[in-house]
Amino acid sequence: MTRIVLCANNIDELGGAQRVVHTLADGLQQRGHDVLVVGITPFEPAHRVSEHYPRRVLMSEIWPKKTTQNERVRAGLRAEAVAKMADILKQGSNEPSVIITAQVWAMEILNDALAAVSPEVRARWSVIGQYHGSFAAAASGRDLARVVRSYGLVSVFTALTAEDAVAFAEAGLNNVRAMANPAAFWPDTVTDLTSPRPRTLLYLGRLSREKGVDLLIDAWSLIADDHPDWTLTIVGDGPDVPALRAQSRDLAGADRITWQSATASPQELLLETDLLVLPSRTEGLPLVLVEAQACGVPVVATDCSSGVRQLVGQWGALVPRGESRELAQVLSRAMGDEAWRVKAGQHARQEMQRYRLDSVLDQWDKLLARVLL
Amino acid sequence: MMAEPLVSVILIGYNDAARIVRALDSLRNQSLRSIEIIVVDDASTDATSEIVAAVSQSDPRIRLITREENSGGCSAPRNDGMRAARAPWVMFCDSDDEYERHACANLLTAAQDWDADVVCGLAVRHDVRKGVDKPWRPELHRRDRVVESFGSEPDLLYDTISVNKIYRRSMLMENHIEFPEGLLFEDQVFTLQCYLTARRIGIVQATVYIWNVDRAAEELSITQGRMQRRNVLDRIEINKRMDRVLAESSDELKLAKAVKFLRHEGYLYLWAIAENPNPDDAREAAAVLRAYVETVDPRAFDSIRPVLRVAMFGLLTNDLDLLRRAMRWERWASVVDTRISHIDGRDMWLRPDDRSVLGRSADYWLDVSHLHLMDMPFSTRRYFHEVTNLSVVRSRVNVEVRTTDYAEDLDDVTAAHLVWADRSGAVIASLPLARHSLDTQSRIVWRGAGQPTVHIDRPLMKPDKGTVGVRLARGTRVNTTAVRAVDVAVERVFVPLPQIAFADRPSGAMFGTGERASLTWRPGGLSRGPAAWGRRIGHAARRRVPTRSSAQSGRVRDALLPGVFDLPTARPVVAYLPAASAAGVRRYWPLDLTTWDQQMADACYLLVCGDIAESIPTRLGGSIRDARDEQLGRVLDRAEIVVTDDPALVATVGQTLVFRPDEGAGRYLLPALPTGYPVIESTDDLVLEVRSMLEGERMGGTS
Repeated sequence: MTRIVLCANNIDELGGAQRVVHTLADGLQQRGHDVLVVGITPFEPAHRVSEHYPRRVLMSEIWPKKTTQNERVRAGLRAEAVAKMADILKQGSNEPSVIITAQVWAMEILNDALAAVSPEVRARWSVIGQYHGSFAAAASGRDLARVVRSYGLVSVFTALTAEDAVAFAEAGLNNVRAMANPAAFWPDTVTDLTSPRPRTLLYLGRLSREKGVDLLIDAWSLIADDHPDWTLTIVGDGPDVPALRAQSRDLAGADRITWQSATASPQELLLETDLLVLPSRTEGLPLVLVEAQACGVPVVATDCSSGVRQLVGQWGALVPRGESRELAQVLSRAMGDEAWRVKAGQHARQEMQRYRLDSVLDQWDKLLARVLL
Repeated sequence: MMAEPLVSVILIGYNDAARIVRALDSLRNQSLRSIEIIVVDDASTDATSEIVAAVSQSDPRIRLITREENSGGCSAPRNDGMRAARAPWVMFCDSDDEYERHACANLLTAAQDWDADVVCGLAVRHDVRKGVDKPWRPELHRRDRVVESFGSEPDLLYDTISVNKIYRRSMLMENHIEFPEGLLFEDQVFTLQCYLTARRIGIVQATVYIWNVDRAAEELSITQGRMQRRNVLDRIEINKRMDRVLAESSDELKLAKAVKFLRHEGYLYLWAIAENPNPDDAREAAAVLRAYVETVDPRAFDSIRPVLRVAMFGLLTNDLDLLRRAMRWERWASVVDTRISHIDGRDMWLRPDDRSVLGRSADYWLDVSHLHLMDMPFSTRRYFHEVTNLSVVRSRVNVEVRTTDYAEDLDDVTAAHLVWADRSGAVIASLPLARHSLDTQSRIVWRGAGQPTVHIDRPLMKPDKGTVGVRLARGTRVNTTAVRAVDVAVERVFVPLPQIAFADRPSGAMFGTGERASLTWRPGGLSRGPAAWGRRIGHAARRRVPTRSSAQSGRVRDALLPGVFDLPTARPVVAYLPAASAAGVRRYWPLDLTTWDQQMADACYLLVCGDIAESIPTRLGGSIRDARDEQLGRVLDRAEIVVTDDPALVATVGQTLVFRPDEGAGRYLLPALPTGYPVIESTDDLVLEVRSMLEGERMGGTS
């Protein structure tokens, strides 16, 4: 049994990175490890996904967006986070322990905390760093420099796919391994793609610009009239909700779009779905594709990261990103071809076996043993 | 202390107290913590042992072994370390180098995952002076992979160092693999034995070893080292041992090793022989090398570069002059120092004679056809120009250059110049060269004398520097190749360039010898020392380099420049700059200055520049000014119209008239005229042309 601290920017949001942290924490706990989950900043509204393990949030207030006035507030909160992180590092026996950071900001704070503790305490901890975006996403912004700087010295840095691991190694990291995210659940039954019910095209995720839902609505309006038996269900919250609703109002097929807010239990939803679409502009290894395909739902996704390519593989359908016309064509073909959907759905579920929690946890156990050497 | 370490790292050091802590820290900070660090002190006389002992107090993973007497090499301490090692895996480190933080983890992981006996990572040569990193043999590390047997990838022969690898200790022990003691280049036999014995070899891309090098110091010591007797003898001994190790191996592997020897070690020692200033030492080294090269599989010569093969022929026939000239191609960016013979559709380095070695005739050894030396366009040919005499008296340069006319096609060269080129290749200054004679080796002897013509209109500044080359023109085609200084010493020869002389700026070029024996130059001749002009350059440049459009700066300029530019009345200014001829100097001004003065005295001033001996009649009508001592840039800046036949100037200034009355007479070797400009061929025509241009300018100005 190893003491493991899992650490993310926040642990209360309902996002992909948080779901991965909770799934992993649950799994590692069940395998007998002593798990603590740490969030840097609180988040409102806070979602409690699991209560099986202890959790701590370091900052006493929500980390505010930068303005000209709040520099001191932010500095104070950051110092508080570093100090509390250092306390966590100092606690407990001298047994070798592992700390896993899911995101770069958490790693930067951890690095400061490691610098603040004594060499003996530092020597006790092995650090595993993660980045939950794709290499392409990191390279397009400032993240890549931050990743290389803050993860260069950790014991192991995990990328989401083998392709990304090579890219990060070429960017200058010498400690990269590929580690897939686990599926949060594995249903016993799959969606029935042949039952005589109205057909559902599902979007599940945040409603913000990088997710490309605007492109999806454009594409839907082009093909809705050709597929009168289909409805588009958009599930999620986010900053773009008003804009997207306004956009869809005057377009064809608007009456067959249903809107729902985010759900903590996507499984039921997915088991009622005939086709899942992911129109994103950027992604990492999107969990929604794993979960949908685990439920036997075929997917149409944009070719925006190596993670998406790996998850969609040869069985699902890939569309160039940022192209609503191409997206419309591919969706229309998929919606009109039940035989393809059935075949793709079965194949997808098979392929998702390797993202089942048990097989991912086996990889984690090997990695933990290795970093403790 | 951990009970069972996974890796034993053997750190060897001798009198390196200053750096061994850095190496030790890089081992202690490995992300893989389960290691033992065995420090072997090769009987240092400094504090090496004490320092290591002090560090080991706080880190129980460190063990110190102190040898009784110094071994003089790396082999014995590494062998001692290996015997003391307890972990299943072994690595080596030298006290002046470092491990990358994840080196042990990356090599061990690969070794375990692939079940390999040896795993090899990337070493990076870190230049301690420049701070630049350069990967060593990166072509072997393009991707992570397993090599099932050495025979399937003999290129691994080129990775000869022992420090960038992890070894399974049981493999070393069971096969009694040790470093050969008392020899240099101990890594090579050791590595070869490991590669041959390993059941599986892993290659990883990851950087594992930081190899700190002081490149400037190293280069010198290594070249000098190769000239030493022990160095050659050890190298040959090591190669004989490698051959014995390979005795049972496949023919392919033996051949690959022979090719590697010729390409790599053979090349290095041939160069050391060619460079050796002592002819007796060179002959002795050649004899040692020859004795071994004669035993090499003759097929290996098929796989080496053609000119290296020519040099090998020189070695094998004891023709050190041939060897030396061929190695100039190998070392100096492919310059050709021989006369190529074209026989039966093949290009031969020399006319083949009846010499025959290793069962092959001279035809085989001297064939360099596939370099296509004869088909090469004139502009890309690499001539061997050697400076054989260089002296400077006041501002006159006397130079003699000899050129190997390898394709025997330089008879129709129309102009030759010695050129000072900057790093971008632009010509800063030039001096015409005249063909003088052929020397005993049929090389063309060029001589030049006089003051170099400067082609820039600004002072030289600190970043200016470059090489000196010979620029040959054949019609419109031009070839520029660097000049080499092989036997003459040209360190710190100063060439004044008065046209760009400024009070507080470099006033000329300082010659030196650069890489590949090339003749180089940099700004020199500071009147007040570098610090003075370094500080002043900013405001001085603003003050002294005016723009034509600014009336304000024009006044400043005129105030600063008495004499030639101190013109009494406001008349247009014409500059006359005839090109210098290749035959030294034009003896007379091609423009009839007396006629010009009579006809144009009322219309304009004429500033005359150029390297021509005839005097300038400045007193006649007073319209002609002698500007030969002025900076070229100022003259061009001042003039409305420029009359010239120098192609370098035509391209750079605005209003140009190309004037060459003396071409038909054929008395001079003049540079080729630029195309696209009408050529004016008599003084009278020029007068008419200039008058009409000035007329037009006045009309244009009033409208």
